[in-house]
Amino acid sequence: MFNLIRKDMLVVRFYYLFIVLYAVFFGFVMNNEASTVLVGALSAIMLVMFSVNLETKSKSVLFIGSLPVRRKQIVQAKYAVVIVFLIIGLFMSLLVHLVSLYALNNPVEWTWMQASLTTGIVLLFSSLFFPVYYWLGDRAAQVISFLAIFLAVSVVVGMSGVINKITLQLPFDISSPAAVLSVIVGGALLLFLASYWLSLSIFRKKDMAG
Amino acid sequence: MNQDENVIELDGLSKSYSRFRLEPVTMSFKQGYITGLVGPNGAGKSTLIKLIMGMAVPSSGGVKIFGRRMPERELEIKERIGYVSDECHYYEHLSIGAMKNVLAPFYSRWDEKQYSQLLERFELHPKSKIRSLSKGMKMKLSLAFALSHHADLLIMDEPTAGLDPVFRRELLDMLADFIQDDTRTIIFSTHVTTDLDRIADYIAFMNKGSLVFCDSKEEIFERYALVKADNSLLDRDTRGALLGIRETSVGFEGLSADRKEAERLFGGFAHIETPTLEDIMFYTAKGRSGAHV
Repeated sequence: MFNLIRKDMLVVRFYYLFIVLYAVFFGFVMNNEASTVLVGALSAIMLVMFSVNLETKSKSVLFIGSLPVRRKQIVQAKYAVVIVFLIIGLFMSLLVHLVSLYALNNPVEWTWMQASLTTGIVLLFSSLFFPVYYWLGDRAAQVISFLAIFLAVSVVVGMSGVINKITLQLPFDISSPAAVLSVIVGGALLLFLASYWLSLSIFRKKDMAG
Repeated sequence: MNQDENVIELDGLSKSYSRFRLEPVTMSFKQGYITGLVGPNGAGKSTLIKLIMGMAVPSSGGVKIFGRRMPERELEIKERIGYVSDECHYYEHLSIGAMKNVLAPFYSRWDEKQYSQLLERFELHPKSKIRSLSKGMKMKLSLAFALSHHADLLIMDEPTAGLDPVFRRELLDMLADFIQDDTRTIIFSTHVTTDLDRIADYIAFMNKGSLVFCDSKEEIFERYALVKADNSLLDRDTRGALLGIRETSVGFEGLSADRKEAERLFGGFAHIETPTLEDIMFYTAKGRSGAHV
């Protein structure tokens, strides 16, 4: 499985530049209260989309199918690489925060709440995207990718405005990292795992089509 | 595993699509030989290869490769298979070198020296982008990858399609070299029968989703007969003895799957010749309704 993850990371290697551009644009040019989540979540989601689209474009699933790997490992790697891209996204959002704090004197806020929200959005997106991708195949994936990105951006922008209100209404201290992680990340992880099992059961029954 | 042992065994392998059905196939591919999988377009050759490779899920039946069952032992089986597809499915935006870096770690027996020698032989540059390669060059690249991890079994789906005659001959020579030590096996699908005339030991012929036969080339040429005679010899009995007929104003040409029976029926009134693989493919595909010229 490690080689499959490595493959996805190598395949998108030219596209890391786009992630830097996102960070500059949403972190510094369009700087607002949603910047941290936008940079983190969009970076991860776009990397996932780039890797899937490149695979679809080259029909590389047929190349992958010829390799000494199991179907289960192919699906596992797709979900594992989401976590890798999420870490890259979180790192980029932290980098934007640090640069803005120390170099620009115009700090972009970075909190555990935002990191958890970023994690939740990326896992939610992947949980919805992959089962549909494995179910409906490459043509539908193009439509789904557009809708998924639109949905993700809407959620990020929409959620950023209501985070503080949610915090005030909850009976426990939502600003504590432990509570945030257990509620948002825990729930998203459960959905992510369920999505993995669903994708695996779909992919096991499907032909690898070009 | 010795020569004459089966490297692949198919047991009632079938696949149903909405518009096509591969009828249950039970056959084996012998180790140490080149088996040509031949048939017209749409006969089911690529479907059979995808089922063998585990890329398609069978509707029924099973596959054993190297005596091990697929997909349960997929990892160890595929380590020993070099696969060449009819189309290039590598990441087009990558260079040859980057693609090699993606692919090589999957194979424990990857041979960097052999890979470099093959690139040089095929005049491929590691910095060339895959999308900039011609179809022939992409096929060469697939072959370089497939031959660089000491595969025991080479499975090739229409490898000569789109190749120029010079490289086509070179490829066939390379396949003959690959098979030299008697432990390696090649399965090679094509609809260009002249390729198989040159190098194949066994021929598996598919037509309309069914396996028509899988025999050695010698057995096939001994068994089949091409009958050429005057139209007056065609009656209900003689027509029934021919798999396919092509009638013209001056006579007919027909294929018989039983040379002895053809000789008995037509005797000295007809020319009885050994058909080419193309004759066998053409007449079997066309059937008795045949062609009228």
